[in-house]
Amino acid sequence: MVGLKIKNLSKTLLGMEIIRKVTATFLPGRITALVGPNGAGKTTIFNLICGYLTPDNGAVFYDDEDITGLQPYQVARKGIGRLFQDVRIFEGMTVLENVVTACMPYASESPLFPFMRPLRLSRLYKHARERSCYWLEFVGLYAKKDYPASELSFGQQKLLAIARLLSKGFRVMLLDEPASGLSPIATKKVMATLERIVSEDRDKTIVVVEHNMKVVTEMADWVYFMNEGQVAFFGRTDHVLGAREVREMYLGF
Amino acid sequence: MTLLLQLLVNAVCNAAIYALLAIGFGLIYRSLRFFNIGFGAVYVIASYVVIALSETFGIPLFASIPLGIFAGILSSILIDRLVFSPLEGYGAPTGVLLVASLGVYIAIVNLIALIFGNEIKIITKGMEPSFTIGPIIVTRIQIAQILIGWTGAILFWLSIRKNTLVKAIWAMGIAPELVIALGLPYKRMRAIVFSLSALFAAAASIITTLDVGIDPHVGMGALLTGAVAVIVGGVNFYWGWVSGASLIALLQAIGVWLFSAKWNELITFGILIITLIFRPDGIFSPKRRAEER
Repeated sequence: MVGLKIKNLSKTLLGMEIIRKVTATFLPGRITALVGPNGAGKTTIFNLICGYLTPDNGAVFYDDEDITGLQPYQVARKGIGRLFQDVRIFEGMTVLENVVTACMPYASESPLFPFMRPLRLSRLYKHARERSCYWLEFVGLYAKKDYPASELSFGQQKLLAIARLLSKGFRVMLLDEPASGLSPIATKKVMATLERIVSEDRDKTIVVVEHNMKVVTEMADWVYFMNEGQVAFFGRTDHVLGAREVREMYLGF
Repeated sequence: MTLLLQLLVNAVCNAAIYALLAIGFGLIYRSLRFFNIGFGAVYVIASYVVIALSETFGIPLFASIPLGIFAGILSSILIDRLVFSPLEGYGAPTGVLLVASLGVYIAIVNLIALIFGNEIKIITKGMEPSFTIGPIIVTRIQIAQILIGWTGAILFWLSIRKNTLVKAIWAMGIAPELVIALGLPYKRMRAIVFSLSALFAAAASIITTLDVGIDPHVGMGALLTGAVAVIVGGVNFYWGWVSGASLIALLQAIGVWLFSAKWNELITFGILIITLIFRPDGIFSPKRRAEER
């Protein structure tokens, strides 16, 4: 089966059972949301998928391939990209370099490459630069491309991180609170982009952790509602968010 | 005046060596964010391997020098794999790594002193062939210093501009977990950082040893020169390292002219202290310039 699948995932940290036998499937061509109270284990799920944590039990499958226990960079090379909850950027670099660093192909990694294939490197670099400029233009940061990334505001840094993720062309994108800290208009734009990505390319899988219910209702096709490390509800967005228990436990009305 | 001119030429040679040291030290300091005193040990190992091979086994210099560089690289990677990497795996803070690297330095230097003795060892005996240009005398080894030092600096600069790997190494110092999330292999990058650093250390070490000889304790001085050059020039800015190295060499030459060569270390650390007081980001740091605009 294609897509990303987690099966019976469990994780105990410092004697606390953070994730308890979570099974979920994230289908390509769909936006799936993980919602739930703070501390429900949503980010931990992302960490388990990406290899930052190894599960005590259970497994992660990607296109039927068991990717449990792979190193984080290996997971990324399989095409699973991730946006961190707290914004992470390369502060000492310019905005453009931030994106270029991400979207240069792995092939140019050898330390001898620039001396052995200088022309090819130039071409690759030019291509990466063009692609980076395209995505910066897209999120509205093109005018600031030569600024030090550390001088951007929080929201702009978030947009930069999103541009970096999009430029890399990951097949699966795990987005941890992509809309937090963004202005309504930027949120709208990012949402529209994500929706466009899945509708244009049915191969892409997007998983979002988000507390902004407006974003979730408008964007997500499926919702997993998590509570205390377990999946409490799963279903179509309106069904899950309409359920009385979810309203009482999470939404507060 | 002739003396000053001669000293300035010497400064250009020293600057080349200091630049190599600064790049070697700065690579680890910038990308792994810890003050690696073990760098001094790698510096010493490279030269002593050359000495051991050429003196004890009679291997000619053109063969023993590459082997010395190779030994430096190998020891650098080994030190990382055996000491630093495991410590970092346990989540040790950079202070712990600093103390561990000091331990590595002391152990290796004393081991070398035990085997080879504490006195100065010289590889090339007798006078170096020299060339006279007007009032200035340049030795063959000084020309080699300038050539190797500045080619090393420029080649590194060329590779830093477009190469993903070097960009990623640069990025690694800011957010290592982010580099991993983008699919770049941390361990391999780490090994490359340590080997590149050792390559520069070994080049600087061997060429200095060919000139003036070596004793087991010079590693610390080399390390500190490199470290001061990096901090003075600005940690985040590659040309700052090279400029910092040049500045130290230049001021040392002026110091020799005005006072005496005994004051060299005082000058080095004087520059460091003055920089830290007035421009803690480094004299040549580009970030400051952007803010001043």
